Amino acid sequence: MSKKIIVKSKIRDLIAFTKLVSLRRKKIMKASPEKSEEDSFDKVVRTMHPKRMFLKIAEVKDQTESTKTFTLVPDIAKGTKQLATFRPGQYLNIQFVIEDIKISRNYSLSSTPKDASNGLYMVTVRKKEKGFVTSHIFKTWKKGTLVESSGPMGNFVYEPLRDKQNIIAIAGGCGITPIFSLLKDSIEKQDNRFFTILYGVKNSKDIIFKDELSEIAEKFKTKVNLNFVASEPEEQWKGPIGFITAELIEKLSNGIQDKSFFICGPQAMYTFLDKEIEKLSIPHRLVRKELFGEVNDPLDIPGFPLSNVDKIFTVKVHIADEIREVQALGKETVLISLEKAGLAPPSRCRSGECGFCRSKLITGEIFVSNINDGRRIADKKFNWFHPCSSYPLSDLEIRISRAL
Amino acid sequence: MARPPTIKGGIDLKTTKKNEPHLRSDYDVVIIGGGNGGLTAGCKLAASGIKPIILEKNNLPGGYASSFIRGRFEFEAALHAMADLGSIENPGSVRKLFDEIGVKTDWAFLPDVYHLIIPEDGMDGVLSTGVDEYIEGVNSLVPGYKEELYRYFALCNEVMEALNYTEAHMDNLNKIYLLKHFPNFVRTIPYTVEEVTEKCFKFPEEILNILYAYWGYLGVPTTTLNFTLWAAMLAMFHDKKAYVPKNRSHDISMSLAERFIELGGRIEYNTPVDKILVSNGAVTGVETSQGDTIMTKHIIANLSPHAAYNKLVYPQSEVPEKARQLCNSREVGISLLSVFLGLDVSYEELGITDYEFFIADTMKRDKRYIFPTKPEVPQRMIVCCLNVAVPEASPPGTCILNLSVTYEAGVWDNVKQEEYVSLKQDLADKMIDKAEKVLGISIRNHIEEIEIATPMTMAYYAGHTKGAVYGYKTTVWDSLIPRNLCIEEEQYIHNLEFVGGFSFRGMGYCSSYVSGGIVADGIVKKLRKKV
Repeated sequence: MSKKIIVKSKIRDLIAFTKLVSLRRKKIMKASPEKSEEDSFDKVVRTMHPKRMFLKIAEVKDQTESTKTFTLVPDIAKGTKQLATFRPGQYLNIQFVIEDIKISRNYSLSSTPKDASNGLYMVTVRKKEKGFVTSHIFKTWKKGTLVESSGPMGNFVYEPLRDKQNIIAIAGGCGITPIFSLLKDSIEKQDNRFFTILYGVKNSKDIIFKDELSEIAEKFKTKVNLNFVASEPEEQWKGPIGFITAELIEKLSNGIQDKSFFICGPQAMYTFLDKEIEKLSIPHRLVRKELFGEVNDPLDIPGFPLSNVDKIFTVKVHIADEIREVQALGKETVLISLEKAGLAPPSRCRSGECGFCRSKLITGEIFVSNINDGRRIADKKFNWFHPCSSYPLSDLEIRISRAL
Repeated sequence: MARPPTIKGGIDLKTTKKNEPHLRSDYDVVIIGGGNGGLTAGCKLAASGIKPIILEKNNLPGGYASSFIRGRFEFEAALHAMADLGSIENPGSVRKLFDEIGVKTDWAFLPDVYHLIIPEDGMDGVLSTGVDEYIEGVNSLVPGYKEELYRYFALCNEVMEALNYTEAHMDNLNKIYLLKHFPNFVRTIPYTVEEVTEKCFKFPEEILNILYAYWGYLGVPTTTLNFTLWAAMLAMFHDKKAYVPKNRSHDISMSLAERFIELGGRIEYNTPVDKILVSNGAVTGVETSQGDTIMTKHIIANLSPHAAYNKLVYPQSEVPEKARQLCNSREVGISLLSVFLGLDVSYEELGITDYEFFIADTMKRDKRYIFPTKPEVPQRMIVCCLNVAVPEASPPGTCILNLSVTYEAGVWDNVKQEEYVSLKQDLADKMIDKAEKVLGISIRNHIEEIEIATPMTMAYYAGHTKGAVYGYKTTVWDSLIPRNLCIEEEQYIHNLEFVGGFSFRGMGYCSSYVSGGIVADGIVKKLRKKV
């Protein structure tokens, strides 16, 4: 025990101690008995991070033969009063119910934050051959259709503290949508970014935002260097042809020193481009790659066991207090099998990254794509996995959460 | 029991909702929130053969005790130093608790408390854990006060021991015994840190400046912070020393969550509670936003009383005026702005020598606690490099650096969403500038990943009012002892009990874990009595 401590006086210290409870009661008694209401801080938090957004299609614009741009506005009646702001490059996770199956897909916003503050978002969707969701969109989405989505999300964003102002943007197919947003935002902000765009397309009919991009390139020559690269060009094609190689990148961008790469496209493009980028010896930090939803063909993933493609497995799924058995194809992610079975599991990025679909693997073997294994250390330790980037290699027993 | 789910949303979900899976059982105890307090309470209950369920709003456990991945980095979301773990030979309350419930996690030992840099005052020195080591460190910076410092730490030790005694005998606290064995504990309870430190000890300003740098750990200035909590923290830090989890806080939370299930507990993620059902002043159950209804007689709320009383209690007419007064009377603690950096350079190459740096422009009395009233960079900043403690925390040739500053509740109130992104980028920019300048290192050309979390991020993730990370302020009238003395009279709704950083034991990981244990023990006793 230490020597006796006296703060004010022997007596006053003890009295203060005995009066502590009454002091507390007095403090509480003095406070207002009114319920504290939502303030401006809470409102901004709720607007920026909505649990869900209720939107309505205000306009549909044909972009190419297979691409449309949908303008979305808040559905005030359903409770979305104001759109959440976003960072160019981010996407919405849009929910669908198609043939009784609840499913979600991500669409990069092709509009700008300024548009959002004026009450509108745009998503640009390309119809895929045999595309389950895109066919549904093209069939049913028209002016007035109600749409439900997540708030904006994703990390494919320009970060001024990291990224160079001189940007080499490489896009394939509808991978141009986030880059279009980045470019327009830079023009609206009148900042000092310069964009060298290499947009890989099949032919001129395949170019999304062809007129818009060309117009911008014409008007802002000191800001944009626009290049369409055609892999299956028509006869009249004048621009560069073939794939986007290291050589072509260096040539078109007039040197690669001190520039940041923003790359967005299908997995096949990444598989090719990764090797090309490696040749350029660019530091990791200067290459941003959007994981653009799930990989359509698992054989694009290095190391995927070929023999698994034709296999069919059974997955025993624990969800809330129920157990369901679903069929899973060896060539599809566990997430897709769950969705097809109507289980409506949670999902957001669909690329292994965000962990929103995080689930427990109770028994069984899975193949986890090494290109997008976003699991935390402890998740691996305790057998938690991301169904959106995992394929069954055996029958499985898993526990999933319900979608929010 | 399950109610038909409500139909929400723009799409007609009727057909698919009908067969949606629900939680169909009732539970002895419903725990709202799987944060540190909720998980610990759950483990304790399940280990006692009681049937608990944890309903967690996110799809992972832990609340702030978590981690997140960007590129090839897994960032620690919250913890800088775990104070009351202790070693195997000298276990602290957290290690004892974890051993008791059978939770194992890998820890890295932190030899130093902090590297203190106060440019304007010309102060620069590393302070170690351990009373002797710390006093030696202070003595090398300001010689001549070793004896007085030992006297100070003896008092802090007495407070810590008394608190341990108090917690072990909360049911029938013998005040005479307390007075006899821990007189200084009793005498200092009604005072602030400065009242006790400056009236009872003869320290020069330079020593106070070093000592008070600790205030950041508790988030309340020494001018208003209650001495009891402060003293206990100091004693604990130097007796039990400090640790960080090797695999981020998510590993601790997962260890607890998985152990909970092993012990027979049930945890349901993605299941926010919408309503705490109350009838005649007592809890009867909960309703979730997934459409579940669960009946129960005991609820453990791992959330703030603010959120429980203002948003969840149903019907709201069951919230007594006093509960609202309690909420309105309390001061919400600090929130923070945290810049997470994944750098493509090792910490050695970067030139970082210590795990944690406390940087303050000045600790001089008149400027020590001047806080910004707008979102500007405050004068005090913490720089923490995880790899110094856990070299393998990120891939070879990289390191993780975290810069944090704190804000009083309300400072971010008038930020508009249109200016939010550029505001946080601008603040991070200035913080990086400051770190580079003060530490003499070059960060900017190595940034591979960057994430900037603000009070708004905290508010969104954990749902705490004003994005508070340290619960309510532990000022004299709202510190541990008065909270504990009033715990029964402040249980305004029967069997609705609080754990976690907003509860009776104050903020921080250790307190949250311990609060869960204490509340669970109380419920076990009550339920056993009935049998």
